Amino acid sequence: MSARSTVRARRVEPPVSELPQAEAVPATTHLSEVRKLREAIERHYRTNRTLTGLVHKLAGPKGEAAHVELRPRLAGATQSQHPERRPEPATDAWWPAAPVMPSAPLAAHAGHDCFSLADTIGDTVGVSVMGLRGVDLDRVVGGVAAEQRKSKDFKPVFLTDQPDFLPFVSRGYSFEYLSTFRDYLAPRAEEGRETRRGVLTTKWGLSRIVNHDDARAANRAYPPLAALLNHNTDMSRACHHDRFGWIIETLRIALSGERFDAAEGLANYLLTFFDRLEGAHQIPAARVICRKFIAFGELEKLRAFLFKNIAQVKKDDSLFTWFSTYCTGNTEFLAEFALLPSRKINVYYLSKRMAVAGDQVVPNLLAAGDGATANGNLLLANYFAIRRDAALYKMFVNRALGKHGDSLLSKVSFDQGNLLERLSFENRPPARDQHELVSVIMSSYEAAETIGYAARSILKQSYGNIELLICDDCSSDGTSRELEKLRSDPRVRLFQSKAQQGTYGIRNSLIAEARGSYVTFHDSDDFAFPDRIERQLRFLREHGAAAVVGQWFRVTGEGEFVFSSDHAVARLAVVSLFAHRGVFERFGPYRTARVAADTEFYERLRMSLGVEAVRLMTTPLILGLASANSLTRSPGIEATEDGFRAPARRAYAAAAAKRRHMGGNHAGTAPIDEILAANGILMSHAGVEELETRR
Amino acid sequence: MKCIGQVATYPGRSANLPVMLESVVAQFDEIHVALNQYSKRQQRALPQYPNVHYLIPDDDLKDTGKFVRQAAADEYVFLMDDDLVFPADYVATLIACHEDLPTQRIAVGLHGVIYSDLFEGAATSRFVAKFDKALQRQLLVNQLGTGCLMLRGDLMPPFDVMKSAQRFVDVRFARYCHENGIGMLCTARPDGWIKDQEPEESIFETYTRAHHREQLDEILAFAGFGKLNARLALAVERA
Repeated sequence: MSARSTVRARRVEPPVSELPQAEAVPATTHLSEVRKLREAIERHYRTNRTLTGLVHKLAGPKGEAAHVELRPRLAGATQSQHPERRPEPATDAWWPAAPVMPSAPLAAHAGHDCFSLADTIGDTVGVSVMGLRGVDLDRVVGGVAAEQRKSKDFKPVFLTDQPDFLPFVSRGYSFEYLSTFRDYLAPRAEEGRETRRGVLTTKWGLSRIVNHDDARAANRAYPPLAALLNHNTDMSRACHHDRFGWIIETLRIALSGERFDAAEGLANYLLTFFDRLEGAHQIPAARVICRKFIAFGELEKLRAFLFKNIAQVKKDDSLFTWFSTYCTGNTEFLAEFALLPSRKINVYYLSKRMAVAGDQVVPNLLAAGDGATANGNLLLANYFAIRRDAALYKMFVNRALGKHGDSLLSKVSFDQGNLLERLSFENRPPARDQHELVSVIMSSYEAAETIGYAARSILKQSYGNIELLICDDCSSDGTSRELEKLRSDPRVRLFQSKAQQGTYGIRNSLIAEARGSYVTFHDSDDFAFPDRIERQLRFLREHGAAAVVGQWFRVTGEGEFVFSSDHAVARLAVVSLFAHRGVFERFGPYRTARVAADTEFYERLRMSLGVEAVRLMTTPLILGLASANSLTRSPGIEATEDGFRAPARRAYAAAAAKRRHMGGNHAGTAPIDEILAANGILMSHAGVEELETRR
Repeated sequence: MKCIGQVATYPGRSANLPVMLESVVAQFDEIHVALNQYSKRQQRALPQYPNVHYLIPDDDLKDTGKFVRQAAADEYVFLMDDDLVFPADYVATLIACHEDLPTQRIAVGLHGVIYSDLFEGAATSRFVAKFDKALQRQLLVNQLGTGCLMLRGDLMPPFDVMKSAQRFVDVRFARYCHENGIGMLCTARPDGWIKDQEPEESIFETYTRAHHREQLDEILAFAGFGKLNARLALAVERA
């Protein structure tokens, strides 16, 4: 101890505050006494935190007080320290070309509690507390101080972006103030943060940086992550109180958030303990277990589970729906499954059996009259599609569309071929304000049969100030010939992929070519409602949003609407993403995956900008063709309306979701491109050429 | 089976070690103590027991010092922290618990952690059964604190596995067990059965050093209820 610190004892008269420092009398002290003094000082420093209390405690038998000063040899570093600096590199610029660094790492303060050990502790640890302030910050700093008191073998340097320094100053710790400047929104922000951490590591000689950032501060505006963080935060208390309740909710969050990597093990754990679950947990547990079976395509396990737990099936709408769908044959109609336990219509079941059940079911649905839901109307429309009754089909579809305020069908024909090719909508008056150009991007592959109506549905929009950029991805079915027919419209710009690259490589290229203030997309087999662009642009302006996404109805070539197992028909249409062009420049490019890169991009936008800036329109804007030829039905990359995801999609979705959840802690996530490559869904960007230019 | 205790300490804990040894020395055939940063003179000041063997390593091994000794197959190895006080029936109780389990390929301890299956690196995203608090029912966990656990000698990780895990031995030990099919059981006990000589009510104990970014890979390898052996978990809870 004596070799490390200078210790002086002084005889002084109380009270201490009135003592002139010059009258202090130094005295030598034996080593063991020094150690005792040091321990006493540290003990009482922890409890009293006042010099007065300490001095009175150490007072001599005659009421004299001892003033003890412990002074480590190394100078402590504070935010006001002015270290010797390395010579700056010769430059004409008035601003340094690189961070100004001290010639040797700064010596961090050990803090009040370990003050006397400052020169013996060699390990300096960065503690990142970005985003924390007030009691939250004080709690973290207090926790670190407690650990330091116990181990006495590290000195913290706190890294903060909040102007709340009291927790550091009051405990005598060093800290760095780092302004963030909204770097979460900046391109390459992650790289910038890494660079900054590297600089600080050198500056303070940090052995490592421990992360106690308030992730919630950055992600509060992204509900999926906020829900996860809130759920995690409560884990220890919740598990002590109700372990299985916590596990059930975790599995629900994992499935909703596409964390398929976690879902498998959780479902297995829950299934193993299922018979021991208390009654209130059995139905929620059964629901999430079944959802996992469906997502993973484990239908035999699903059937076995549902048959085994038939008592729960009879009580719950979701379990009942799955039982009726997967355990009763594919075509047969059993009337006892037409109604759910809650007495609502089992729409999903009926939608798949209208051909055999329609004659029994339709009278009941019709009896509901005008009070029927949009879903009920579309179920009826499905029945008349099967019967090829165009007039009644149109009537029920229009009833459903009218409930959403959508444009109405004017003409339907059930002649041979794809119904979408022969649909027309009532004319809409042109949008009033059309001064800003909107770029609509469309990629096409083997789309000769559909590209015509898909493109016409865009060119006939009520908002006419558009450019339609279409790129053929090396099709062999005559798609390019169909595209040539569109050339007569000056708003159409045609492109050709230099090599087959998938839709997202094309999007990246065409975004760079786009001239519009806004950019959106359209699939080459979908039909846009005639006011889609007008409504999205109006919504974007009215809400001051950066981007907006709408919904779609999936419909077969025969005109039947596709329902999901939650009995809904309107679904999020990520393809309808409509945004300022700058959004794509800042957050792009799309990952060149074969599938689902638009979902990753959309979630990234929501997380970065917040859900207030990336809005959802709960309005159908598109009729999406549900075809056996579509990517969502292609073997190996399927995504079906019941929730099944092919393994490659699961791997991609899980990796992307995990990256979002981990925030800056990417250490545990493999590069997503590697995962895509391993699953055979990574494409290469090939570039495009504009056909007019080539000529 | 011989009962072997293994401990690592350093001079800052010189006041704690004798108290800890006093509480357990009679329960072990041998106790091996790695004296990090000790001098011979400092070692001589430590209490001497016939079954306590001190070793001053060439380098400061920190908490990996308790893994430096190579254990034998016919031993029960007890890893212990130097700042705890153990009850008189500590060894007998853990051995009895171990022998009642459906498998012997398992470590039994008192400080259990289960991470969230959606672990994102936050301090609070884990379930903790703290070693000095009561636990009503034994359960399988992701990680045991290496300050109070036991396992068969042949299941002990080689020192080569542990030596690069200074300051996060619990994480590395848990990962080793996960990768080698060794279960980790947190045993039931009453409140205060084991005592901390310097109790600190802080969620950051062992955490600040355990969870920095570089260790997330290791934690994620075994984090979550879903990574537990569910059948074994059910069996031990039935036992």
